[in-house]
Amino acid sequence: MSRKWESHRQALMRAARKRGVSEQPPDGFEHRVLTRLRQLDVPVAPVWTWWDGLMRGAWVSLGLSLVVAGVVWIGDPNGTMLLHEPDLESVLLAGLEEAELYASEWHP
Amino acid sequence: MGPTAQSHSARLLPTGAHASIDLARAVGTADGKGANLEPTDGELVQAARNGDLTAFEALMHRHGGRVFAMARRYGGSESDAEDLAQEIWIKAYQKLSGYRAAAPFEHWLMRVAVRTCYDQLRARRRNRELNFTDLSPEEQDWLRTWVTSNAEPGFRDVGMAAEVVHRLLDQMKPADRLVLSLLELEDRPVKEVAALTGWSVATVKVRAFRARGRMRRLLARWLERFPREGL
Repeated sequence: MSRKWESHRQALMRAARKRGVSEQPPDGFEHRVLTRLRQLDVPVAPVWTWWDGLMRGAWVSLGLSLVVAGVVWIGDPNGTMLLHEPDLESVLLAGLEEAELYASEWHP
Repeated sequence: MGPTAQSHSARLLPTGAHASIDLARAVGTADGKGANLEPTDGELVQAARNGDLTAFEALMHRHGGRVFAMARRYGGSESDAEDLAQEIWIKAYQKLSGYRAAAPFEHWLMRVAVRTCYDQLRARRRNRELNFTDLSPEEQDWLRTWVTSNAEPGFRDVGMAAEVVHRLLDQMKPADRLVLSLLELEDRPVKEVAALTGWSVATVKVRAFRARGRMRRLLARWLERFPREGL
């Protein structure tokens, strides 16, 4: 049943496709569009400007990061400041130790 | 460049467009070699981005035909089609900065056109009252006899079929109408439809499958009003 309707539908579409659509714009069409553009004073959307700004911002951020990294490296060339940073294991063990201490205080 | 090509170029470009884009190129060399009167789409876009409306007019001259054909398919009446074509060009102008020269300008423009037509179809569907447009008695009669005869469509049949298809598509959801028009009336491949609509290839196939089903049911509903043997 559905196949029959599909063949009818296809025949209809094939026939409709044979009627071409004119590509000829009406006289003065371009002129009307330009007049409307002038009247509306349509700005070109600033997508490119936005993208340009974003890229410039990215370069500035990269430059600042490099400067900050350079300053840190000059101030501490051996990275000793980083050596004193507690690692994850120490932080976790310290937490557990603290919890044990509290537990022993409450339940001696 | 021969006189024919030059006159063709002169027809494509509005007065003043050459001068505003690149006078040296327009003039060419004294012996006529190397003269290239037609700026590329990319150059025209660049000039239009800088506010040169004559360059934009040249783009409209160059690609206006295809845009207008699309507007006529989705616009309904001739005045609706002109409004729609205007809308497409205004959107294209506003979005010019989004055009990347990596793809041909025409592809980008057709994507803008399809998107605008789709928005228009959705807006029209939202705003219109629910009116089920029936076929005229003449169209009903033609549909009944033509569909059962399986005959090759003649000149009159083509016109009537286009009218009936237009009525059928008018009853359908905008996405269904768009996908069927692009695939079956404009005869575009699935990949191109996907590129034009921004949908994935799988989405296009699924939508087309469902749209065909809905169109079949609509057609059946119309034809079953006239029960006859063989239908």
